[in-house]
Amino acid sequence: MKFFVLLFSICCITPAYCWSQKSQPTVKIVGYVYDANKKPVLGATIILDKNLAINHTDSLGRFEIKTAPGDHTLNISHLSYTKQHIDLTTGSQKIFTVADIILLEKTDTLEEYVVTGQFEPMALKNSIYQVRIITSEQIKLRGATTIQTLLNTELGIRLSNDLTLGTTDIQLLGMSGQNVKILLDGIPMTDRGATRESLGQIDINTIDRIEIVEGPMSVLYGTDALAGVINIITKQGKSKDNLSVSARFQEETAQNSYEALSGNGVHNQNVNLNWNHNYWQTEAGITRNNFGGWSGENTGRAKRWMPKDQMLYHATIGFNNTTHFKTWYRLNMTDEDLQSLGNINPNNNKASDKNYLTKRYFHQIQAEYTPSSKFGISLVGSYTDYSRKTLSTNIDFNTGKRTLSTEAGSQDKSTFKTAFSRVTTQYKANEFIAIIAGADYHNNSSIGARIMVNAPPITEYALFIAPEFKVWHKISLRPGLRLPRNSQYKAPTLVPSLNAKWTISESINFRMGYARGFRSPDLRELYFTFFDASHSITGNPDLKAEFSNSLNGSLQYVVLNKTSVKWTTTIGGFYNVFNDLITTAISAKDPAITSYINIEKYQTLGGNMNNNLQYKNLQLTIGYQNIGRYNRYTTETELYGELPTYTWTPELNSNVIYNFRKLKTQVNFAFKFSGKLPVYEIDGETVSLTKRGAFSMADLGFSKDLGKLLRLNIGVRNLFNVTNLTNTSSSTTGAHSSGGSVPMSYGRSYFAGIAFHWSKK
Amino acid sequence: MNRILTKTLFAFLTLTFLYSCKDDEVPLPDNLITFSSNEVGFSDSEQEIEIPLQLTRAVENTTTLMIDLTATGLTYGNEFTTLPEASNNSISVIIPAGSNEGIVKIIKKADVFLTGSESIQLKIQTASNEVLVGSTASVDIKFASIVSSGSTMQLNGIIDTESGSSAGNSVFVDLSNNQSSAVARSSWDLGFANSSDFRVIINNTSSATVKMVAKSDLNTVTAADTIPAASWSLGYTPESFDLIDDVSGDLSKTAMAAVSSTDADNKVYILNPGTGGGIAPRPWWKIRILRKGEGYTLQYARINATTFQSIDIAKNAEYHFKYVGLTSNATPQAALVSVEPKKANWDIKWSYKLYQTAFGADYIPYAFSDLIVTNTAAGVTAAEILTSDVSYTAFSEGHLTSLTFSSDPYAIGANWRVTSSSTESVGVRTDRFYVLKDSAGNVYKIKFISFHANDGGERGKPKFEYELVKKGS
Repeated sequence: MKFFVLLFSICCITPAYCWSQKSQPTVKIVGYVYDANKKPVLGATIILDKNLAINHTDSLGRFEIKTAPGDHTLNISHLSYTKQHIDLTTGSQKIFTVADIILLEKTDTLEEYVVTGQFEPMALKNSIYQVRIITSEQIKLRGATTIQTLLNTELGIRLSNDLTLGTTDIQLLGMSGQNVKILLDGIPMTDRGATRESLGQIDINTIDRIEIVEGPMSVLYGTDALAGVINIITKQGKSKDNLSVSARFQEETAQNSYEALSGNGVHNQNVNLNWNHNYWQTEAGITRNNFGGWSGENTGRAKRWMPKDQMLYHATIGFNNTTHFKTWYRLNMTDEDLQSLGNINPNNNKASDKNYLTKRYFHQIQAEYTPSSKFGISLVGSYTDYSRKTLSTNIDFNTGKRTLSTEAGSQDKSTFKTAFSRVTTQYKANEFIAIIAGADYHNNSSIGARIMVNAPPITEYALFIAPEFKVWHKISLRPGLRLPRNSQYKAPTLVPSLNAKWTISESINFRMGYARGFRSPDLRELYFTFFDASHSITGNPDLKAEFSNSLNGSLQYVVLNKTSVKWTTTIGGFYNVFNDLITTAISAKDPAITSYINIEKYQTLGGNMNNNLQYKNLQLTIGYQNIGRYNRYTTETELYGELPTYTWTPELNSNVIYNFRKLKTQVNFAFKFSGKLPVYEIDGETVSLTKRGAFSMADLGFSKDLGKLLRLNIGVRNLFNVTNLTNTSSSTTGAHSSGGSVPMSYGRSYFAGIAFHWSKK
Repeated sequence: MNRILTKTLFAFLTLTFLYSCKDDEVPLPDNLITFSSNEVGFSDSEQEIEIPLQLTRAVENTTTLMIDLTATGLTYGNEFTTLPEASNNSISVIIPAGSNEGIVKIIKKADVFLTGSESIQLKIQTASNEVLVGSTASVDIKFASIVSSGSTMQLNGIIDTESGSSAGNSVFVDLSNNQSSAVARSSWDLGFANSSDFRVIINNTSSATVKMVAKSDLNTVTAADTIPAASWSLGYTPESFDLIDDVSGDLSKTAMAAVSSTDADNKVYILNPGTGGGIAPRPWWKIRILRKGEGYTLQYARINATTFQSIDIAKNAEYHFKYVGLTSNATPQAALVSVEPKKANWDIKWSYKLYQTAFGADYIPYAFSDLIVTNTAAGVTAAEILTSDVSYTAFSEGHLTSLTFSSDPYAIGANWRVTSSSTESVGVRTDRFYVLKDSAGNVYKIKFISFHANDGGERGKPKFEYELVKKGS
């Protein structure tokens, strides 16, 4: 109850305070903001005096502010332009027109803005968090059809493929998928289990950029954000009164196999429609992702990489009065068919196929209200209806007839439903204190063959507050606190964090963060039930949340900042200790049953260095990271002898973009080297060191504008033709062996695509 | 113009949305009714025989089959009767909704002398509802042991709707007579050896466990003697072998000690009937077994009971074991149950059953589905042949000279199929077949056709074909 009182006070009292301002306008200040080419600038922020009033420019670049006559100052700012400051004195007239304001584009294009962990977009260099960005330019140049392709060359990220289930999971800083929070426009994506399949079910054509924050962001984002957050930001329609159509058509080989339009290879088509009128914005799009599978060494019907047919739909309707209020509803739909083809049994000339049919309906509604530059409130709600069905069929090649498999459990369907809502408020008391506070609510329920019948839904709600203080004009502090409650298990009582940023000089920034992260046990871990001939696994409703303590720091140094050359270098380090990790173990109550318990400890330690260089038409990034993963056998010296505490894996990446301006052609080279991944494994009573092989992933792409409407993309993916990684693990036999080679990719592939964009304006 | 374009595009988007919501419909397979083979031997030592009728899957509605009966050399009512009874040489078999099989029982009249040349033919004429008559629509029942020249057989391991990997039945197979008989794994709890040994086995198809209590009076054993209950659970540890009989069937290594002729040496055991392979938990028992002349006396009671009951078991050398099932409906009750055919009348047993698997450097007890045990105690032996050496079709009597038969009961074991693997397809292994020599010296080659949803078969209903290679002398 206390909870809601507090929530109520945060959500209601604060705005009430802000609205109770006296108003006595008598003069209307009107003006137009243009860029250097005399084109109107949309969305520039105009602040009157010290936060007395605020307005944003519309698509004509126009703004207006009412105030009392007298001396005033206007501060005009925009993310892409340099700030301007105008002093003026109004007379007694009703309307005072300001001379046209020309904003100069920021030459520093390294200047990126971020939204993750912020109330409103903020320049990257001002963010208190260390955030990495995959920019829209990189996305465009990579010609990627999946998000995984983009993440593949990022430091600290590893992808693992399960060819039996056709899923890809992500590892961030040595932690697996369930500790990584995937957000779409700040809203968590639902996944059915530990694997982050949702990453592959987002339409890449709708993405503007991807923000990656390493380290726990549990204060703001709640459970699962232990290793970090991947926030996928979609494109937002900008201009008023416009109609635009974009389309994309891309074909890709799967190594050397290719058939046009369907069958072998990757086939990607997309149509997008955007129509804005007055305050209304509508958008809709369809994408088809078709992968014909890849046989590899297989000779029969069964393919090594499963064929996949994916349809992605989205539709948005939004209202935006461009000044104070904006709201939109968006539906994302995924319809996926993964085909697991069986080999023909020569004894009966039959084959058994399985189709994994996934349907995801992801509804979201967002609203933002910013009555003044001091105060803002945003509301987010989402509902996900996710189902995965297994359709098992037999095909008899004697008759050509396909029939349903009648075996028990072969037509399984699992559904997961998630309701989520969050309210966030921001209050800027003055230039030294800004408070972000809010509450969120999460409800998960599931029905499926392997979930306990009548498993209750899990409801989690939380209050969070993260004020940002400027202790001194050079030091910002952001302590944070989250108070979570959970309907089914005892959630951690307090989740704290503390971030600090010290602007040592114009060119040197130092960031430091401590955070407590946590991960609530999921439905499966609490209520799993699976009993068959050789498995007896139950969930454990008594589980606690996993938690981590995480420390990270980084020093950013702008080495050069001239118009022709810009060079920024960042050195960082992190140390994470994870406790009460949930793992399966034999139940103490009944040794015949396997259940989930909080037992494992884990640590990661690492350092990195990133360089960002811009020289004329060249953009270059080079990064290096060394991740130490904890060796869980190190403490048992009596059993296994002296062993090192960490196993180290170096990683190196680079991204090069070169713009041949005269040829209207851009070249992109993305590269990542991942070092050997050593793992200590237990084999009987001895511990042995096994190594997963090192590999290099590289993509090379060219992009050329053909006239005003078309752009051509061609390139090579996986230049070094990596397929399987070697693994020195000895345990390759047995039903649950994880040994043997590790599938990474189906090898070097070629792509060519054409993108069309037409806009009425 | 723009408006038209917009409208068209939105209409297109909407249509695609709607289209995507529709799933392709795939029909169920035809539901066929067949006999399991077209010739069955009815040996003179048997008084009755069950002829199973198999359906592809359980029927949704009560289904009636009309079966024609043709007797050669004998007359219905004089030498034999059937169940269901025949009228005008026609039998009507009713298969209740939810069932996947029917049975015709043929019963010999007492004191009838037969020459061995008599036979009966059953032929399915019609089936009601949506059931279709399959290819093996008739069966000849020979009134003599036959030596089948080969057939195809599909075992029915499924009792109800349980998952195929924990099929409820064990199935005994007699190749030469084309016979299979299914018995529920949970139907028995103790097996009393009919050999000269005084040994008692516990149920290794339900993962039953047993542990001795250092008391020899059942009435003094209480629930306190079952603490901790986890001591009766089969864990993934080598120590768990102490709770169960030897997995290879060595009678000198049963979990319970040999029954002594000195009553005072025969201790009380607590029996956990086991829940292996989806068997519902059942109450535990305290039991004590004594000798009674050349047979046994079983004393039994529920754990908290202060009195006990007894049942005597006499040996019968025609069978390996005499089986007793313990039931606890209204009153606790032990009764003799029929499980295993006569020892000369079966060659292999297919079942969910405890065996072992490697675990690090050790072995641990591990239950296998679809485990095939050869009747080595009756002299049945088997060998595995890789098709890379000789194909199933080409294998003939000539190959026998260089063949060594194994008397390992797991010579077929679980090798014939793959249930999960990163390198092989799940399904029957098509790169091998088996050769089996029965206790009469008949040699058969056996090829497994399917056993799993992944090989076009059905888990719990393995299908195989066999062919006589050499007739026993």
